[in-house]
Amino acid sequence: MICDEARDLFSEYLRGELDYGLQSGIKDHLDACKQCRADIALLEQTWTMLDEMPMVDPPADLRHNVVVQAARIKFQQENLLKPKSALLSVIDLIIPDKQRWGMAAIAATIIFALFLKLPQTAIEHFAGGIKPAIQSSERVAPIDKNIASNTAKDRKSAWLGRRLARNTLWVSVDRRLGGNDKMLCSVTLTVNPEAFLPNVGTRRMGVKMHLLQNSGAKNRRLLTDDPIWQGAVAEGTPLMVPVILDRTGGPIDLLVTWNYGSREYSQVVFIPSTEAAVPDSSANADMGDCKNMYSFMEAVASQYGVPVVAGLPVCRRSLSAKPHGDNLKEILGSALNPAGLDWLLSDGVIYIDKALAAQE
Amino acid sequence: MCAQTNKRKSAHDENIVIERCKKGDLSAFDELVRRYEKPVYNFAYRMAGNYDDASDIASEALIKVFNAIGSFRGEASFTTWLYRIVTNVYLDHRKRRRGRGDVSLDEYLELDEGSVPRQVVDTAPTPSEEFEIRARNDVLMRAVGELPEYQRMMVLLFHGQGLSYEEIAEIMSLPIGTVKSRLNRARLALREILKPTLELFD
Repeated sequence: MICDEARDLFSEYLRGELDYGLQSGIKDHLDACKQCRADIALLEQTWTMLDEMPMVDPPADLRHNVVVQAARIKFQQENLLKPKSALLSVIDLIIPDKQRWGMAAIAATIIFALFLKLPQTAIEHFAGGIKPAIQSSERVAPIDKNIASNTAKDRKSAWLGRRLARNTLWVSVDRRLGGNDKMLCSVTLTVNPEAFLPNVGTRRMGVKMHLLQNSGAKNRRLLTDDPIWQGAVAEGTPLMVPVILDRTGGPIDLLVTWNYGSREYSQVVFIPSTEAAVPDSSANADMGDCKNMYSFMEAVASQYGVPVVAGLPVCRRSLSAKPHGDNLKEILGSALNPAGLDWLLSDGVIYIDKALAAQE
Repeated sequence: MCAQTNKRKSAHDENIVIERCKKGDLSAFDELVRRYEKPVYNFAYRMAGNYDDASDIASEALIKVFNAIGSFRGEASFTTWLYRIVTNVYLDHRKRRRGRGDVSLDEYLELDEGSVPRQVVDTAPTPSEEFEIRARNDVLMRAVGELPEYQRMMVLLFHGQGLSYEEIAEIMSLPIGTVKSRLNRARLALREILKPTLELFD
């Protein structure tokens, strides 16, 4: 076998893909030819390098943006033939864009206040233990009892509400720190900019989160009556909420409820547990630190209204109110530095991650 | 055996996710994006050579997946189908780019005092690997970048994404023999480009 013939088959030879005759032919040639031995060693090295080609991380918001865009497309497709409601057309005509937001904010405040005061919510219903099972993530708990009446028109409107329930608020969970049993994850709440009920002029929702003991579809109970978090989410500013899950005592997931228009919707948010912990996270896998950090973070979050995000910055637009400068930094430093956690305060969001400390 | 069972199980999981996606389930699509954003982004980055274009290509391709998933019938594997979309989006993107006068990273800038290499701000997340691994990867990436487009595509699909000859043949609509021989040529070309520097890292 001459060198040129052998070289053409080096790749297959390295993978052992040649038939016995050719394979041993090349081996014989290699034994005899120093130049080809050097060549194939170099090729093998190249091959190994290619196989170990490093991966770069995609931008943190790539996934979020793609899913938001997909949701927009889906909503447009579903509503392609639906004409704009007369009310919205009138609003378009009589209220200029700039003023509309102000009015929307006022309306939202009123609606949100109403929402907080309403005694009969789905949460209380579930927590009361009469019907512990939540059947599906699409369950719609109407506050307005009339909607349950049986005229064709009402059925249609109930159906519209049900369909929109999945569109109005998106909940995505990014697990950031901890192990399988105990973990700290960030939950992102985003108002779908394209979703709206025809008779509601605001895109702001009151949201509550409960921990849900989740042993199968027929055995779900709220862990506590009080929500672990409640607040408002407005369109255009996705909000990130830190949540700690302690599953040592059994499976726990999240129940997110939100009100929109005059109704309350709920969704069970499943948090996967099969994935390995983020390897380069600065938190220890044992949750001692994480637990302390979380209780600390809870305090910070309630005192300053600042969302805390552990891990990479997924979204920097998550807060409109700014934290109170140096004072907060001092508190953060004294709590997080001894735990060996690096942190960064930026744009009103606290990020906790080893890599981010360099940017401070 | 166990690995095989796992593989079958994950393929089964994937089919469920795809089926849910077909029905327009956004959380299933979110899961699909979570699984594939990294390989797709990396492929786009290696092909396009910069992070901005990689983001555009990856987003556009994933959105196309969402739009077209109804037409995915499972005749080819999902990966094959996905990368066919990604490569097409890349080729379209490059065509649109062509008229816009891109600058080459290797181009020298002419200044009064002479010429200097163009410096570009690296906006990538900085990996904390040691210098040597970095230097080695830089050399490799530069070498891959020097390959003709189709060879580069094949090298990245085969080595970067771990696809088989058969899958690449299907993605690029080429006979398997052609894929094999072009990949062979690509590796030999790479070896020649890398030859002077590989000795440094022995």
